[in-house]
Formats: sequence, C-alpha cells, structure tokens
Amino acid sequence: MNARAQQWIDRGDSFGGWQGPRNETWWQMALTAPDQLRQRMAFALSQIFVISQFGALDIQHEGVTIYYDRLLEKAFGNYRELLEEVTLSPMMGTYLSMIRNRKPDPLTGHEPDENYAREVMQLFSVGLSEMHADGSLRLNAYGLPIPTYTQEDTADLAHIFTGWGPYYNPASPPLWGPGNVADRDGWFLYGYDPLRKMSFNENYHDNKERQILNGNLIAASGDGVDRMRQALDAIFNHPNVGPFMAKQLIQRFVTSNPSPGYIHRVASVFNNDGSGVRGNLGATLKAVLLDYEARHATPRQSFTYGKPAEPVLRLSRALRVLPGNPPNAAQGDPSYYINMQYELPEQAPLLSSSVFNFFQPGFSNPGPIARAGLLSPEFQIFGETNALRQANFNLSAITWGIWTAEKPTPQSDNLKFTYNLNSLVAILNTAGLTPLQAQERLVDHLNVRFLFGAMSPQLRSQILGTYGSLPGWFGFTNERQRSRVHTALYLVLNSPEFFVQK
Amino acid sequence: MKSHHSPTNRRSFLGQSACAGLGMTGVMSTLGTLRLFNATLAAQGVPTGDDSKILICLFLYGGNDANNILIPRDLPAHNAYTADRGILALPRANLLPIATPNGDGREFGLHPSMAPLHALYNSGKMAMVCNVGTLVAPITKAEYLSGGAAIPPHLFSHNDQQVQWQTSVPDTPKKVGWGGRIADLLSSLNAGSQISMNVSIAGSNFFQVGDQVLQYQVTPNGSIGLNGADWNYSPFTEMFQQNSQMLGRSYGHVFEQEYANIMKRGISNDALLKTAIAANPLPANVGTFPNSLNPQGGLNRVAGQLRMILRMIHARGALNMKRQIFFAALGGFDTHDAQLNDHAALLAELSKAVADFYQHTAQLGISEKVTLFTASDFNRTYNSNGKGSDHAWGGHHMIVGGGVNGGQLYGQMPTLAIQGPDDTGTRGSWIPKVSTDEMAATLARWFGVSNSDLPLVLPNIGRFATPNMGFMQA
Repeated sequence: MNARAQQWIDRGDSFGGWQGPRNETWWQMALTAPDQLRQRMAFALSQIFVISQFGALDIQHEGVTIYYDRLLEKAFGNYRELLEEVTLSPMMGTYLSMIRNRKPDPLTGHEPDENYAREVMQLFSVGLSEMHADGSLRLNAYGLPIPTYTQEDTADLAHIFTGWGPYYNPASPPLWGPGNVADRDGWFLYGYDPLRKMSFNENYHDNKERQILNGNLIAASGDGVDRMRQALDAIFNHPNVGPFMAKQLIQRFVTSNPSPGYIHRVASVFNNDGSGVRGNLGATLKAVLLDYEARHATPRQSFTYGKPAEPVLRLSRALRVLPGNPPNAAQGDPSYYINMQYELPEQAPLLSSSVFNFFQPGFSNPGPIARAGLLSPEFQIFGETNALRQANFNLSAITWGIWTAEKPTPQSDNLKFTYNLNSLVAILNTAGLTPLQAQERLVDHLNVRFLFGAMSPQLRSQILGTYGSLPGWFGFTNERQRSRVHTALYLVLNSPEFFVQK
Repeated sequence: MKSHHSPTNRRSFLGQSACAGLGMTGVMSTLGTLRLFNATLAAQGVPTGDDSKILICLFLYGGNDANNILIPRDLPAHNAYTADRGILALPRANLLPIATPNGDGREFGLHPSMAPLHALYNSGKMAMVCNVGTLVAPITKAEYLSGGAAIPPHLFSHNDQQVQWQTSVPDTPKKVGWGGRIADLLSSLNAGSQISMNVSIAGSNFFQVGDQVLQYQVTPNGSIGLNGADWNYSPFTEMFQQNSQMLGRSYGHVFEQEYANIMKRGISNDALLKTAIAANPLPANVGTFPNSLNPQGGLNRVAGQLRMILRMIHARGALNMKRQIFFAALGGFDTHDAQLNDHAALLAELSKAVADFYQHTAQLGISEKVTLFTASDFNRTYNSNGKGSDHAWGGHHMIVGGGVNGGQLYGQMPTLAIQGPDDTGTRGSWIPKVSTDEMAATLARWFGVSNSDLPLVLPNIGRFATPNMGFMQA
C-alpha cells in the first residue's frame, strides 16, 4: 500500500491524500476477500471503536490501516483483548488524545486529559445509563435512569490513563537523527511512532488510588500498565457491556429496532459463550445472525423490521452482485482501484466527522419514524442531499462507470471501473424467448440477486412497464438491450425496497 | 419593524412588476403567479414592505473554548487567568479590548483571531451572551454539589449536550428543537411556500426539527436534484416516469416510505429552489466574502455555507418565505490537544466569514432582518490538561446582526476561579447563570413569537427570570 501511495504521489495525483490508497484497499478487500463475514464485522467494529482520518490522523494512512487490520484480526476474538488493543493503539491515542496524557502538575495546574476516559465508557463499552440485560433502562426509586458513571469516574479514569506515550524500547531506543539517541522522557514528550503500540512511562503516571464504575478500587501503584488493565477489566465486567454491544451489533447487521428479547439473547452469549468465557465476539456475532428474529419469516414481516442501507453497504451490495471490468483488466490486473472518496463523501471507512460515528445508534429520524418511536441510525446521513447524490451516483455508475485514481500515464485521463453487464444483456437475448419472456426472466434474475426474491409486484410491473412503454423504433440491438438493463438496474438500486435490508 | 413603503416606491413597484411578469410567465410556469410576481420584485430590488426575518444558528461542534474568546483584561485578573489556564493563556497585549457599558466593571478582550468580529462588536452589530448553558432550572453551586436540584442529564457528553442546546428542553427525551417549534408556530407567515422554513446547510440536526416542520438539507453549493430527469429520450424518459411512480407509491414499511418521502421532497424542493435562486442572483459584489478566501482558492467552510444562506435569503420572495431559519456548522472545537493553534485557526475562519456575511446583508439593505447566533456543545475546562482542555458547561456566545443591541455583554460573566463559586469542581467548569431558554426566547421574541406563545417554543421558560435579555431591538 505504501508503494501504491507513492504511485499516487509520483503521478502528481495526491488529491486523495495519503488515505486514497487505503480506501482502494478497503474496497478491494470488502468486495473480493474470501472472509466476507470478518470483513463485515471489522467494518461494524470500526463504527463502534471509531477513529477517523479527519483531523490529526489525516496523514497517518499506514497507522490507520494497521488499526483496521487489528479490527480484522480480532473481529471474532475476545472483546477485552480488542479493548486493550484499541486503548493502546497510537492511532486511538492520537485521535482521542490519550497519548502523552500526564499526571497533574501543581506548577502548571493542569489535570489529566479526560477525552479517552470519557469516550471509552460512553461509546465503546458501557454507555450513559445503566441497562438490564435486555437493553432496557434500569430506573432508580424516582423512576429516573441511573447514570452509568459520574464526572468523578471520568476524572479518576483519566488519571489512571496517564503515562502512555509513543512506542519506546529501551533495548533499541529510537533516534532523533543519526547518532542522536532519544531518552525515554524526551521521546514521551516529543517522539512519535504511528505504527506500534504506545509505551508506558512511570514518570508521567499518576500513581494514586482511584475509583471507577461503582467503586471499583484501583490501588495506588506505579505500575500503570497493571492499573490500566485493572481499569479495562472493570469496564469489561460492567453488566452494561453485553446489552451495549449486542444492540449495536444487531443494528449493524440485522435490524434497527431489535426486541428486548433479541438483545437479551445476544447479550447472554456475550456474557457467557457457553464455555464460561465472557466477551467472545465470534460467538456473539453468531448469536446475532442465527437468532430467531434474524432468521424466521414472522418477525421479518413486520413493517418496522430491518435496517436502512448505509451508503457504503448500499454500494458494496451492488458491486458484489454485479461483475465488474477492472480498469487494467487488459493487463491482467484484477484490482478495482475504486476509492469512493468523492462519490460518497458522507461515508467512507474510518472517515466519520467525529468519534460519534457517521450516525448514532439512538438516532430517530424526525417525522413518521420518530412519531412511531423507532430508531433509524442510518437516516442521520440520509437527508435530501445524500439521498439524491446516491441516486445520481447509481445512474452514472450504471450508464458510464466509476472514476478510479488509476492513470495509464501521469498525463492521461483517469481510467474508470465499469459494471460488466454482459450476462444481463445475454438474459434479454435468450434464444427461444419472446422479448417479454426474456424481460421477465431478467427481472426475475434481478429479484433473486438484489432483493432475495422479495421484489414487490409493483416494482416488477414498473420495470416491465418501462419496457412496455418504449416506442416501437427502439428495437432490440445489443445497444438497446444494454439500455434496458440500465433502466432495470436503476429502478432496482434506487427502489425503496432495495434501500431497506430486511 | 420599519416600513419601507413610500408613495414613490409603490408606484415603481406596480409599474415594473407588470412588465417583467408578462415576459417571464412561460419560463417559470411551474411556479405560482404570486411567487413569480414576488421573484420579479426581489430581482429588481424593489422594496415591498418586507417584514421578513431570518435566524441563523451557527453551531460550533465539539465544544468551543469560550474562556479564550472573552478574556479578562484588567491586569490582576489577567494574571490570575494566566496562572489558571497555563499553556492555554493568551498574552494580554494580544487581546482585542472591548467596551462593556452594561458590565460589572471588569475589563475584557476578545481572542486576537476575532478582529473582524471585534469591529462588529465596536460598531454595535454584535453582542455576547455570557455564561449561558443548558439548565433544567436555575441552580446554585450548593444545589449542584448536594444533588438538591435537577441538572441536565449527561452533562459533558457531546451528543447529549448538543441535543439539549438545540432543543432547550434537557428534561425530556423528545428531540424537537426550538427552531422547529418556532417554525411550527409561525408557518402561516410562509403561506404558499413549499419549502420548509428550516433549511440546513450542515446536515441533520435537532434544532430545526419541529412537530410538524421538517428540515430540508442543501449543500453549500446548492440543492441537489435528480440527474438525468431531463434526458428526454428513450429509454430514460420512460424510466424516469416509472421512477417517479415508484417514489409516489405508498409503502407499508416505515423506512421504505421515509426513503420515498425524502427522495420526493428533495426532487421537488430542488426544482423550486434552483428556479428561485436563478431568478434572484446576488448582485455582483455581494456573496464574494472577500476576506474569507482559502489560500488555495474558494471560500472557507463557514463562508461557503453562509453564501448559500445569502442566496436563499435573497430568493425569499420567490420562495414565498417571510421567515427563514438556517443551520450552519463548523466542527473541530473539541480541542483536547494542540488547542492554541487549532482554536485560533477556527476562530479566524468563523470571524472572517461571519463579518463578511454581515457586510453582505448590509449591502442588500437587510442587515436588521438577519440575526446569526452561535451555539456549541459546552464550554471547556478553565485549567488545561497539559495540551488542551476538556469538557465543561456554561460558555459565551455571539449574536450578530443589524437588529442586535450590540457592543455589550449580556448575562453575567462567571467568577473565573478554579474551585470558585461558579465552578462545579476542580477544573473550572462554570455553572450557567443564563439558560439556553433565555437566550433562545430573546431571539424568538425578535423573530415574531409573542410573549404568550413563548412557552410553546420554550416549555421551560417559566422557570427562568429573563425571557427577554434585551440583546435584540424591539
């Protein structure tokens, strides 16, 4: 990927910044990697343990990519291990400013940075209010929700998280320059290593006794590594984590509004995978996907079931179903080279506008959805602007293609990726069928491939209606048949029923 | 509101509109006659007894460090400020001094990056509201510490505090914004308009959500329509006919129906808006934002949004809108790290854009009809974390426009002392003395909400002492 980044620069094509090649790689893997479920889980986790190239990480393409690789590796592993991986990542350390977080100093009057301490609780683990195992709120004697943690918890956790700086190995210390060895404290304050886990430096650690999350005592000690682990254990063992992760994973994979029972069943597996292990993400995901509410026909018939398609998944579904013509296929290069940075500005992997992700799990779109009391996270980035931009993207992608950053020479125009529609044209040209029969066969094919066989009769008749209302001179040449494929695909990809994954 | 009617104006008004109207009928047949009539008037700058009002929320996402926009300037106070803020302190010599005619005797200066806004403050076009924040009801420090009074849920949490600033009802989970409730109440003033009173240039927000009114989202470069709908040849003619029918169907699934609603609204609003803006182009020297250009060209992020707002304001007659509420935003204020440089750059960007915007409204002769205010998640801690600052509570905000009683501070500056009487704890997190309700009510009154209707817009306003803070002209 570094070589690819250099290619961009050599062509003077640095407009995508360093993150363009990362996005190309992401799309290539999302569409073609054999371990599709792992890819999908990593993408879901990247929307919970959020970092973004916006801001301090914009030139850290390599570090950001490594962060994503860790999510892939640990996608089916243990939540507790993932939590520590994330906590000590130099990318998270930079994004939520835990790196170089120092103990209080009476001289300068500064206090530890509360950023990571707050967000690791609010967004990565326990959430704001205490929950039952089914995700419903626990209430106090006045019938009010109970905050999961207080401002004092946040401040105490911020103290525990002091002393973490850029990677430093005393056996092989980094150099400021040739022959200029960095000392430990200097490196803590001024060094940087975007690729390796942060290192602990006791000199900057607040070693006093602290309490977090309902009185979990973290004893006074200079061993900040151990204290960090104790703190993560306390977070991990909080009863909220099960329903918190269960609900978000269900929302990312299956439905925006799971029943309390569904959350409870998945949270129970998170709490104990059957062999006494807490936090088994693979088992948890299995419980999400194989639940009655995910599989059985009855709950799926509800008018509230399913999830709106987020932009990236709306496109990746189309790209996986339709074969493509990679821009350099003639040279035997199967790479797609699509990066989608400009086509889908509202969503790209690890590119949200803040740690609150592209959309929030509790978002309820104003209007009929909110009035029905339903959650609809993906609608937070589906206003008129993005809705029409996506529809327009589908039109150009189908009829023209998708720009890539690939140029045959530095001077020439960018190449494009196109859908390969030959197999669909072939259906329309099936020997022995009347034009209408062939068209029906095409629609049946699209129904199975895109809509899991659930295409509404109305959509079906609208596609066929397009064909039926074409003037007689339109004819049946290959070019005309290709246009017919374009119109069918446009209507399917822009249909309300394709937009909602059920 | 001053009337611009005069016998002379009225005569030219009638004469010009008659001619122009005839010539344009065919071009804009999709628009109603009345709208066409108004568009023509607006295009020619003819005063029409215009009593319109425009309110703009500029939201500073991340929590603006208000402690470094309004800074104590008398020497002992500045010394204390320097000691408390440490690495975040700005040198006294760099501050832009302001007069505080209704203040408490303390001297203050603005952040050195705010020179354009400093000029507006001095010319009376900008006021500041001090120590305003989310409140359920007035609360003392003793009550805060003892739990003796309700506090807004989830203080210091970004998304919760953003929502509470935008709804001003922290004690309900219902996310209807006060801009939305104003629009619900005053919708009859926009009779005949098919575009929402509430337009966002900065994506989804809660401020503009009403019980009835929905926000309409556009980009800084305008609305987006359905590409290809003008490809008037087979098979696309037939395809777009079917597409239109597909979106027009009613759907049993609530998400599918919402998808169709958004698409339909986007397509029809885009047509109306593009036509109205095309008929009412900004004069050549308006909308240029001469001080808000990026070094590499183009307008800065705030100016880009405000230019689109200016275009929509200028087309308000054609859109049949006497009231418009806009939402713009700038992110990046969550300055836990590298605060000094980042914050200075953000303030420069926003100050230049807002000041240019004010000048453009003055050029159009509508500055007193347009009020922009800032809002943000929360203020930041007074003491540093060694690199930046953390989440706090009450902060200071800017109100800009020709209708502002500017050049003054409103509300009450907190006692700027760590563990002092206004600090919740040990970080310098100010307990607000003014609620978002009071700031919002003052703006709502100016916008045309009657005193008796205020509780419909701000249900908790009765709990607070000052439903009109006086920073807007009557």
